[in-house]
Amino acid sequence: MPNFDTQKILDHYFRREYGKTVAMLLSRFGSDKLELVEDAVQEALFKAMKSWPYQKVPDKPEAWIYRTSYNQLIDTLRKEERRNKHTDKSSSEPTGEIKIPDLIEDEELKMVFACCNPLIKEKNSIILSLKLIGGFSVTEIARAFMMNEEAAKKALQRARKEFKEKIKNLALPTDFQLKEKLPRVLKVIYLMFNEGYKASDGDELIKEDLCGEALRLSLILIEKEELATDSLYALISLICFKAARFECRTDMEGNLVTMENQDRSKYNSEYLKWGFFYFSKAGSQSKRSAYFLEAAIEYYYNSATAYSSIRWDKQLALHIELQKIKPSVNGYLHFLIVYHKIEGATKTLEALKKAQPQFQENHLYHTFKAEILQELNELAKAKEHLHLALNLVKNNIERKYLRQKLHSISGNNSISL
Amino acid sequence: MKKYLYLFRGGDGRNVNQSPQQMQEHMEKWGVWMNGLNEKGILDSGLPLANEGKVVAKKGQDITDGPFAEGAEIVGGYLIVNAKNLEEATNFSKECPIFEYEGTVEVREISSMEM
Repeated sequence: MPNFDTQKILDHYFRREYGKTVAMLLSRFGSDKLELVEDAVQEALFKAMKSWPYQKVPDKPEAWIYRTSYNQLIDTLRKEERRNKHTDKSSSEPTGEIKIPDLIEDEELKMVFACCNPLIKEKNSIILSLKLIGGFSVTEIARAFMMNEEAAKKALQRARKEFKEKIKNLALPTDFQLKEKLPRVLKVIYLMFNEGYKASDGDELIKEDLCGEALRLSLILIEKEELATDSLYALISLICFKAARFECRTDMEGNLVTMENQDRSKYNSEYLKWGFFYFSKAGSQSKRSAYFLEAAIEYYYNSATAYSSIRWDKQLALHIELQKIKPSVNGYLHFLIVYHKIEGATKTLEALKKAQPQFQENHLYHTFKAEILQELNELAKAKEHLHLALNLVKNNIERKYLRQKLHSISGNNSISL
Repeated sequence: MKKYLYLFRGGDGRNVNQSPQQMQEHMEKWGVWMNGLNEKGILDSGLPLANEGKVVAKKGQDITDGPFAEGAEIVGGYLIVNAKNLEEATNFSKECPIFEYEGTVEVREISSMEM
């Protein structure tokens, strides 16, 4: 019996092939066949799973999967046709010669632009990208977003519906459309990455996969010369810089490790390398994008040899610039965190007090304010804010962190929470 | 040495609708397991079976479409292995990935014509 060569199958190979094959078939059969295409590819992978170990991995596994999916789809369409008794042009195609599209990469790229079309809601775009391009299952999507499976299924159904309504044909945007469509793709990638990057008590593995998928999507784009813009370089660099710290954000017991206490030697050197590489490519622009500024902030975090040698002055200037083009509550808080490093606790507290109204519902605000108050030795008030933060925080890792903080302020007197 | 047949029933995870990732992982386990048997000289041959098929009875007067049994019992493939006796053949099957999805391995001795 031939040996099944596991070396031939790369990590996440089935996920990738799922996405590519769905893209090729959808491009050929139209978006109204979405569910049938998904089922056909699922079935082909199932057949691969059942037969490959007995024989061997086919010489051209991609072609095998495509052909099997194609036949499966035609078979289903024929059955449907017989049932409905009306002729459908697409399903009457001969099955003799099944040619794989020459430019698989283009088919995949078309899917990226279809899933991230500005007409589709952002949340739906993320879900569609994960399911149709990334080959994530409903269960995996549910795990990634920490929702129950039923809710994920419904979300996916809504997303599919919107996709079919708004996307009729898959096509690459023309140069003219690119300016309008690329920013949305980048935003979806950015949001997908952040969703995965959030410290969580959920499933770290799937969260990491989410980050990996965001990176992969951005690397699909970079292959195309006209898409390789400064914003894309900046986004990839931002992703790589943050991904480098992924495993250092929590310790073995699942406790949150703040950047100050992270072991910098454990940052992923491969990601760091790519982060610096793409950052250097993104630096030529005259008009700096938010992605560039965020990447630059990460650059200063990661390039410092120690936490104490971080260039806070550079960071502050970047945060101010970022707030101008992309103002946000969290962005402002991060600005204040840097501001504190330079101006000290008293002035930061004043700034925090001024900012108060819009921050009341933000647990990071209360956490940070508690830290400042603690530094100023206003322990009672610091505790008050930690309690407020605890009431707002949703994530167990951060909750644990806050409790430990509260505990350390209160000394060893036990506190009831 | 005698030859034994492993008949695999169910256990392909169809009812749980695996994700592409799970299918790949499951496939790799089968590959690793079969490679292991092969390297130890236990494995003789084997093939997977498609789920579609026909059941023919009464000289073809009675032909029905598969599947042939309830989902969990469909035979998905077979292997022929070398073993000293039924006990050993049974032991070799214990690491089979089919149990991950609650399938079964039926172990049968292949009748020998040798005297």
